[in-house]
Amino acid sequence: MKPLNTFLLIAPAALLMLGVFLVPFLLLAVLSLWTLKPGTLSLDTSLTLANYARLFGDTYYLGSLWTTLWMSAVTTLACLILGLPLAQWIVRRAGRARGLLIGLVIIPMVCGALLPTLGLVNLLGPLGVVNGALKSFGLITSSLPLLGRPIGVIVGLVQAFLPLMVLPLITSVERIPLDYEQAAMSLGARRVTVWRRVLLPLMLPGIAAGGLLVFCASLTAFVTPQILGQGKVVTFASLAFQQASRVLDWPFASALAMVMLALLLVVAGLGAAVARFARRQA
Amino acid sequence: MAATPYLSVHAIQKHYGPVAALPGVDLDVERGAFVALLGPSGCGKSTLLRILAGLLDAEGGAIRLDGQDITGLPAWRRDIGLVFQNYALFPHMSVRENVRFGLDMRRITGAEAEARVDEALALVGLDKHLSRRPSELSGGQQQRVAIARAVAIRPRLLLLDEPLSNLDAVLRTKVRLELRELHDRAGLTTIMVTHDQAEALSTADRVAVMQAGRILQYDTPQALYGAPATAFVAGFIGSPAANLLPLSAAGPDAWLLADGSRWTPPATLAPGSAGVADRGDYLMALRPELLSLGERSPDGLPATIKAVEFMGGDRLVHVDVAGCALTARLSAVDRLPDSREVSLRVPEQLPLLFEAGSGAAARRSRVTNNKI
Ligand SMILES: Nc1ncnc2c1ncn2[C@@H]1O[C@H](COP(=O)(O)OP(=O)(O)OP(=O)(O)O)[C@@H](O)[C@H]1O
Ligand SMILES: [Mg+2]
Repeated sequence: MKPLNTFLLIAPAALLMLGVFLVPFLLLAVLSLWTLKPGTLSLDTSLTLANYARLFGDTYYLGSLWTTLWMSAVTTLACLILGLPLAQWIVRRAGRARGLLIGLVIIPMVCGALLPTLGLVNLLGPLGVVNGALKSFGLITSSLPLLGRPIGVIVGLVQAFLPLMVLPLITSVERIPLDYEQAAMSLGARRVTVWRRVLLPLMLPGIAAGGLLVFCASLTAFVTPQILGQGKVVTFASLAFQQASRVLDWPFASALAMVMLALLLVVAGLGAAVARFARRQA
Repeated sequence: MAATPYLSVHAIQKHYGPVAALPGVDLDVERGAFVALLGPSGCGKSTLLRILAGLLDAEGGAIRLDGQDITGLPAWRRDIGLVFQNYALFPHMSVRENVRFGLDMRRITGAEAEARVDEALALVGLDKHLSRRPSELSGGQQQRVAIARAVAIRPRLLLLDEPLSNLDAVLRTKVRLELRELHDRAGLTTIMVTHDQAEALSTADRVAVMQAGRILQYDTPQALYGAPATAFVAGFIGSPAANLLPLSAAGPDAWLLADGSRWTPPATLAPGSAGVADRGDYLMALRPELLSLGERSPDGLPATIKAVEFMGGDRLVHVDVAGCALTARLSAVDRLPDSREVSLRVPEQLPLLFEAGSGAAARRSRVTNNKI
């Protein structure tokens, strides 16, 4: 095909991307360099790094950034630990039930964040299922505070983003012929060794992809931390929301968003590097 | 009964759902023997091999190896080397790492491991590209790595699942000789699965012919060719395989052919001297290479030439005898009769007869040179 034709073909999509993604991002970047005139809601359009200085100079914001980062890391790890056996089981053992199971894995992804999260409120609340069960077994006497704590938010993030981990893992397990495992066994490898020396290295691209998706999704998650954190767990995304819609300090909210964007780029770069390394191994 | 065999497989059963892949297989292998499992696709060869390797559980039966009952032993403790049809080399490891894998599992390290890797690679004649990944090797090289990997653990038994099927025809003939040499040099006991009879007959000491999960005959290649136990074996061994001509006895001196016509053969081929009952349906096994064609004559089989295939050194002549398609293999220098209507001459050496229903041998050839 001639270059011009190709260009015409991608032009609508390119225009859409330009309008919907690039332009807002650029606006955001410029906005983050402006400030509010003190005591007013009107914008001071002289370019300055004041917003960033304020962000990095305040332990409240840095603390929130730190909370967001470590919660995302724990969520990613938890998804990996749950996802590895789940993906392997679905591909290797589930047989007929496989299609159904993959469907079940996808459901949380397509039904949005709100419904499952509200379900979790019932599950984790002071009078919820978990506390109720623990109490009736006599393990605790007063309710554990699960909501409004990082632990509750992490549970919510894991249930919301597990599919993002499991689906790439399923794809990578599917690409590993059973013969590899059997060859390893016939050479004297126990199950654990087969897993460590053969399966895990070959699943690395899937792990990198899944980890990247879950980490980035957790980093930017808004609804789940908002509901399960009950305002007591302040993530970076909810901070930005606060600044934009409650405090109406759009420039500062933009700076927060820009920092998040930079983080995403760094993480994506790291993930891509790991994936490239893994592919070279395979 | 001699000393117990090195490998003894007894009444091994395996079902897939209601279908019996192996209804109960027995097989004895002597130490140092090269055995081929030969049979058509889907007859259960791979299933048997996987059960031997411990990758598949049998539902019944027992396997003893070198005096040890290994029936319930997990694969990783069996010390049985297995070469897969598609080689199953680990794609994330180099050639050397692949070969060393089994040694790692046995905690053999350092100089000793390197020496054993070198030894195994030398056995298969591989000395280049050792730090490459399997995907950067040709099919033939990959196959060598797979064999080296299995041999490096000094297996008590080497199992090969169609090891040559992914190679081209020229390489295949070469490699099967090399395989046999390797087996002798390394002092291995080997079982090779194949559906290529040339491979089985040329390489193995003994060949087990399988059909539908059963071993029909387990014999030397010479015996399989000369004295097939069943019509299936006769119709499977040889290239082309023996023709099976349906006949029924019509008294002591004549046969009835499939179309009802009467054939009065030379006395040695008659039902009477074949020692079979006067009545009954049989299959007569006729080796294509022992048939000849001539002008119509009363004691030859009336045949019509349908097609002639030129094969280089010889010709395959496809004829129709009483509605049955038979093949004769003639040397390229033999002259064909002018007419298409010919007589098929059967050597007067008592061909093998099988019972039409069961396929069991009706009578063994009495000739000593074991030719049909
Ligand atoms: N996992 C399975 N589930 C159901 N049936 C199976 C399974 N594996 C094999 N079979 C059936 O068992 C029979 C024997 O299979 P097997 O793979 O042992 O054949 P084979 O002799 O190795 O054939 P080929 O020469 O084609 O490799 C076949 O009829 C096959 O359809
Ligand atoms: Mg097979």
